[in-house]
Amino acid sequence: MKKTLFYFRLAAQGLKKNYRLTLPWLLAASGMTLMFYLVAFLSDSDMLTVIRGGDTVRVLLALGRGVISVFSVIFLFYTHAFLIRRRMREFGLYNVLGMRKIGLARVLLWETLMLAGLSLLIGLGLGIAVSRAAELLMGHLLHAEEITAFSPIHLPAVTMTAILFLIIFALIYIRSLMTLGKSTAVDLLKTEAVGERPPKANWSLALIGSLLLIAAYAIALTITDPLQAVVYFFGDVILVVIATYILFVAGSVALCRGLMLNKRYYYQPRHFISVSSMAFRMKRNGAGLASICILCTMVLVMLSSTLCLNIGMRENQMVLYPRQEDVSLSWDIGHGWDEEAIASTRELIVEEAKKAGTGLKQVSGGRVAELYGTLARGVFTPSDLVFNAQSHQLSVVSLQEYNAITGKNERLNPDEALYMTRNTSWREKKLAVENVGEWTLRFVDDLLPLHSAAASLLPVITLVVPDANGLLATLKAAYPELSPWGYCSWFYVFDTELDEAGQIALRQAIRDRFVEEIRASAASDGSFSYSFTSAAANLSDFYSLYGGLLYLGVLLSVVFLAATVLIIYYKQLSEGFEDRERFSIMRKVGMTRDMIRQSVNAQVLTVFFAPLVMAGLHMCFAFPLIRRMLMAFGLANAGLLALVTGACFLLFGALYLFVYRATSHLYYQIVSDS
Amino acid sequence: MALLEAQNLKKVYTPRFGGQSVQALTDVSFTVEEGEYVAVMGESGSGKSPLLNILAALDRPTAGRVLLDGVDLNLIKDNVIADFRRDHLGFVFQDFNLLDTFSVRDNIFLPLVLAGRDSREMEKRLRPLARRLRIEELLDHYPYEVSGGQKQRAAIARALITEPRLVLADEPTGALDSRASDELLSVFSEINREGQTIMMVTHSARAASRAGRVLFIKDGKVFHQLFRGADDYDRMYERIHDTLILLPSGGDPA
Repeated sequence: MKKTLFYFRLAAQGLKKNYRLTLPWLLAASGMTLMFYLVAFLSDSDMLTVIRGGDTVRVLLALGRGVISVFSVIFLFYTHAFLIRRRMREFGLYNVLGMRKIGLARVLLWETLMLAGLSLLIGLGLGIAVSRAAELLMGHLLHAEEITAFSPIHLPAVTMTAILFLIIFALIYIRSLMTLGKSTAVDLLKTEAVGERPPKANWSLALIGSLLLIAAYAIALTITDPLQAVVYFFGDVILVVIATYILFVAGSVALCRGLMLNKRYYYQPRHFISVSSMAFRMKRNGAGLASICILCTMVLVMLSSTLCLNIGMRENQMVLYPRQEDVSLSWDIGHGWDEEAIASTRELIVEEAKKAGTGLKQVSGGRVAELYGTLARGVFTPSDLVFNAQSHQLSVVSLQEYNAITGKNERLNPDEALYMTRNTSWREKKLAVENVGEWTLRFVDDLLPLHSAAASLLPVITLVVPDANGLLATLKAAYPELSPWGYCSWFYVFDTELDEAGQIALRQAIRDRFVEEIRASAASDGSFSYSFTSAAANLSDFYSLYGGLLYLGVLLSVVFLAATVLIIYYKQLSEGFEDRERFSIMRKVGMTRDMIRQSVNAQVLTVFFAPLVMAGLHMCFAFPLIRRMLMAFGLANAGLLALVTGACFLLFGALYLFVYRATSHLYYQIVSDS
Repeated sequence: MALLEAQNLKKVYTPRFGGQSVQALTDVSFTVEEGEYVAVMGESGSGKSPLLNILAALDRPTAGRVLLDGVDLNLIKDNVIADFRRDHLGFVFQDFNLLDTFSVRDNIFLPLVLAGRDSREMEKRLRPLARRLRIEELLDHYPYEVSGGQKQRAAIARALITEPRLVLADEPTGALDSRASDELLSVFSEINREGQTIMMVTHSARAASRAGRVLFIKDGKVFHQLFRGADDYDRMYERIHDTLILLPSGGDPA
């Protein structure tokens, strides 16, 4: 009993004395616990059962839970190695003073138990304290109608968290024991003073890293098809991660070695010390720096894309579905509009609305011909639907339809046309359609309710011509093999007096009757498609998917950020301890304090900002790929993505700078101790 | 004029937060002539290290002054004292103080690089020095790859490459085995014969016996000094030994 108390007190003292090391780690471990608990709790929240699309969010959160748990294991395991390396010296001393290894193991056990207990206590405590706020925030983001009842302690989540983190701590303890077991007292005492092998440049590895990165960048730049982008994205991410690690570990040393070979450059006071010690530092910290770089990039990609989806898609929804209900019928362009089907569909809608007890308001819509093709130098060439830099959609509307929809009274000569654009800022005086004709253009800033959801994938030019049927006839003659590269669509949009549930029910009723009565006769050859959309249903689907993504993005960003900060902190701390000795030697050999400060400042700054710069570079090359991916989600606004990404990068840079300032202060404190 | 002149040096350490102040040096005066080889002996706590720190301009005396070539070290401004040290003094330390991030060559170049010398000149100065110290083959190795004696010879090369007026050595044999110590002392004797002024702090009688003159320090004062005269190393060793035996009793050794 007395003995147990002794080991306990030794462990407690050890943790307390090394607070500079243990406290940040404890905070990080608690943070991970907190985050895991929150995500586990939220993924099981009752609120998700009352939200439309709640299941999507549940899947997303479960995914996030998996990511956090894997990340926690790797991260806590990795950083604890740093902690234990510093403690081994102390254990060596105890060993020399006569404490047996079994005793040391008991001290370690108490330490690990204390760390585990504290992290679980703090993490779960805070998690339980803020879980309601997190749930309400999620409800707000997902536009939950109903605030569900709340039970403060969610037992399954608590159990899951406790089990995961106890496993992590058990792993950590086993690893510490193994380190302890295979070393003698003298080994332990000397753990830190092991002579470091000078870094040798591994040119071939550095070359491989560069080639991998170039390949990854090339893939990112050459993929233009949004669907392909989604497929290739994850492979490309893995390629970039590998390349980053190789480059930071081998490439940076090779670079320093290369600089050393240039004697005139190297033997200058400013470069001499920084280049040689950077070669050393990079070798040891390359992996850490690469991790920081990857984490930075992940945070930036997650935040900017999810944020962009949320902002951009909201806008998109308003444009795509300006009315409560949105009906569209599309025929193959060779087939043309089936006026009979259009008339009976309209009748059907009015009947069903009457049945539901509402009239139709704000009725609008019309006919539009949607053509796919490429646009280059003011000439549109019809083609199959492909995705490249020149892919465009040309929507052709007759002047009569345009005037009817907008209530205007525009007049046009046969060679004149009005035009509008979406997803592009294309502005020209003239537009030609290959083999069909050319029009003098006038820009009008109208939004016509004539967009299918697919329209958001491509830049769209809507052309209002005096004789749309004439244009189509010429087109058919010019392209006899008319195939699915274009559609003749009819849109019908309207508001009702119903509430959201009523709107969704009305859509369902219309759709059911349409399928039953009209679908079969509309077109038998399969070149017919239809869509019945209720904005209310769409919006809640949208909120649950993109709101869920954003929420998850923010949660994961917080976790990754905390990890980044801790890695940076440990780097500064360990480098401070290492440099303390070097400082005093250099001072004795005749280096002034100012010179030392300058040189160290330059090194620390370089080492510190290399990951951020690299992350920036990754972002630049990832940008086209992310853009394509977002296009697959239906978001083609590159300007918005650029803006959001830039803003995220600046915000992140500011935060990074703050962490740098705070930790370099600690660094100077350590080195000036000597 | 003497190369180095210490006049009535006194050093008192006062703890920052009150407490008992410690008098490390009471009153130390001596001179070193150009080309001399002087050893300073004394027990732990006798004030050897504070004295060396003051001579090296790493620390300032509480009272008294040090003149190097007639220049008062007290009057040199803080911001140029490192330059002064680099240009006029060479250091050899007990634990070598080589930087593990540099190759042996770059460790030796360090003071010259800091002084902003041309890399060809550095190479020119290094060649004869490396030959004399027998470290030519080690130049591209890293400190952790070479033996203690080799490290210390590299450190001597670093001290000599600036062609200093005075070499200050602090227990240079302290971390070496007896063979490496003998080798090192031969190197010192050799460079002294070529005209290099050396001042060495040591508590090894064997090391001190190589010097031309031995100063004994006790309780912060120069207690006694021995001149070699015509004696050989063994005779000198005996005389130092006899003096050391008398030292603790405080008797007059003469």
